[in-house]
Order: sequence, then C-alpha cells, then structure tokens
Amino acid sequence: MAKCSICGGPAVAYIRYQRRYLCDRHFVEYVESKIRRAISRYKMIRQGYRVLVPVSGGKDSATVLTALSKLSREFGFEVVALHIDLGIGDYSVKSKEASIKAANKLGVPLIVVSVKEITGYTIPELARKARRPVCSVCGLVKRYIINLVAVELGADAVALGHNADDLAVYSMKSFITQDLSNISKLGPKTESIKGLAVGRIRPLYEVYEKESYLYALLTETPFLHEECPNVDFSSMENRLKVHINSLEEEKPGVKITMLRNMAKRIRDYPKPQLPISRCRHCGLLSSGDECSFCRLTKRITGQPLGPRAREVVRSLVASLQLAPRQDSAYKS
Amino acid sequence: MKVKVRVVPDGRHLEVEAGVKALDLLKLAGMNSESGVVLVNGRPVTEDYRIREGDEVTVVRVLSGG
Repeated sequence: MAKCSICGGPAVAYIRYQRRYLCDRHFVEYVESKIRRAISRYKMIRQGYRVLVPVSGGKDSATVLTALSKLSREFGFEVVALHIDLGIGDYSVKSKEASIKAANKLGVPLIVVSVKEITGYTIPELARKARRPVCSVCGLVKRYIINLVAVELGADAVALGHNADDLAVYSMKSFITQDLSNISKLGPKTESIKGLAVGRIRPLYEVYEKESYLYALLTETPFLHEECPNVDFSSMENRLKVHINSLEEEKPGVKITMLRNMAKRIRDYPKPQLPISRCRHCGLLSSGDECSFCRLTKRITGQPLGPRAREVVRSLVASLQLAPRQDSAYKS
Repeated sequence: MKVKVRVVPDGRHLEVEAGVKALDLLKLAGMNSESGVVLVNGRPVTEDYRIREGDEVTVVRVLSGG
C-alpha cells in the first residue's frame, strides 16, 4: 500500500500534478490549504464578512460549508447556510435532509426556502407551466432566491460550490460557442452591485472535482451521492468534463494552469453589455424594468411573486436572530 | 477468485479477479484517475492498490452532472 509522502501513514490519494501521496489527515489539510490560498490570493473574504453558503446537499457545497466553517475562525468571518427545496420528488427530500444534517453537524445557521411555499408550485411544475426546460427554470429560480437571501441577510459574499472542473468546462463551452462575455463571469469572484446584488466567490476555484468529493467524504460531511434526475449526461458540459479529465490524466496540472491563467486574464474578456437596473416589483437586480423571476411568475400565476418571496425570506432571516448588519458590501 | 464491485451512481455491478489494480478497475468502469475513486470497505484507496479477496469494493464516479 502506498504511503503518505509527509508522514508515512497509509495513503488515500495520489496528487498526480504534485507527484505525492497523502493520508487522510494530510489530504484534508492539503485541500484546506488550497482553499485558504485561493481566499487570500483572490481576496475573496475580509475579516468581519458575513458569507452565505448555498447548500444543495451535494459534495461540492458540503465541501465549501465544512472548509469555510473551519476557516471562519481563522479569518474572522461569519457563515450562514441556505438550502432551497426545489420540490424535485425524492431527490429534493434527500437533498434537504443531507443539508440539514451537514449544517447541524457544523453548527452553522441554516435557512431553508421552499420554492413551492413561495410560488405555489415545485420546479418541475413551474417548468411545465412555463413550457421551458426544467434546468433553465431551476437555474433562474435558484439564482434569484440565493441573491434575495444574501441581500436580506446583509451578506457580503455568496460562496458557490463551483470546482475547478466545473469552471474549466464552463469556460471551454463559452469559448467553443464564442460567448466570450460569459467567461468574464467565471473568475474566482464577482463584485457586489450596491443595493441590488451580492458578489459571488468560488472558494473551490483551484480544487479539483475529485478532491472535493474526497474532502467531503474524509471530513464525514453528510452529502447526497445521487444526481438530480434531470441531469443530462450527454450535454456539452458533461462531454467536455470527460475530455478535460482525459487530458488531465495525460498532462497533470493542465486544469490548474488553465484556471490560474484565466483568473489573470479575466478582465481581458468583454463584459456583458446588459443594463443594470432595479425590478419595479421586487426591487432587486434586473436588466430591464422587470426581473426574470417576476416575469416568469407573473406569466404562470398572473402575479409577479418577487415581493412575496422577499416577505417569506425576510421572516425566515428574522427567525435566525442574527446580529444586525450595518455596513455590508452590497448596501448603498 | 472473483470480487464483486458496485458502481455508483449508476448502480451497475462488475466482477473482477482479485489482484487487479484500482486504476484498471476505474478504466473497466469507464472512468479514469480524475473522474472516479475506488473505495474499499468505504475508504478511498490509491490507484496502485490491488483488490483483495473479501474487499467490499465500490467505484464512484465523482464528476457531477452540473
């Protein structure tokens, strides 16, 4: 059996691009050191920040939650978790269960928002009514609720679970389709827009997908091993993931090189030319006078449901009884 | 001697000879060293680990569908 290159204990992983074996303890420390370095290198979090971590119940958000809850003591920031109950049958029941267990284990306050409670419909029902693909409606609703909760919490950053593999693939897809302005949004962090949107950070920017899985497993963070039933494994993203990982096996370190260079050049990519304005219904970020969530829900129910979502989220946030925020980054 | 292997998340089962390396097992399951992990009795093993008789083996595809 292979031995840890640091302590000689039984190895659980081989870090191919560093040509070293690591035992469970040193592997966990190694992933945390990558996250710590990314937080510092890309100036993701400052002392006193309130960071919202959306948790889906999957391995990547489990890894972000565990690592940030440990690092919060070292860096002096606060972590709050959010789970969105999408209503996708048994998968959502198990996802919620895993998220609650993870937050409880770590002692992190958790907000659970139910899409059905806000809109009267589950995600598959909303998609059917809107005659749109489930994943497109799901993405729209999740992005809206995450930003809404972050705004209502007075959070300074939203920590997403995108890992190095995800980001490499998204940027490759954007390059293939020549949607270059999308690449400008794939860096380690995006800035807050005062009063409208909270900036996003990606603590797993340099953490490979396999490392994220092993970290969640070895830290015994509860997570769901199942995939969403709507995942399309023949999608371009998933095919590119297989290709980039074949290349990584042949040329260890290629993903890290790509992402570090992308972070350096992120400003060279054109920014999306969408105007920034405020939704006339809910007051949050919009590219016109109505945000896409209010537009979607108005089409389905006859009413824009952003204001109702704000009401529900405000009462959930109040029930956490967190210290009030005076000077968060998003506020004007 | 054959050892049973469970493949996650697709639920397939494979049978391999004891002595096969974890890396070869990943390839048999259609994965590679980056896209999959071999667990023996619930613990991850490195690619050069040789499967033994009596091991409870699971191959996990770690790439999520997004």
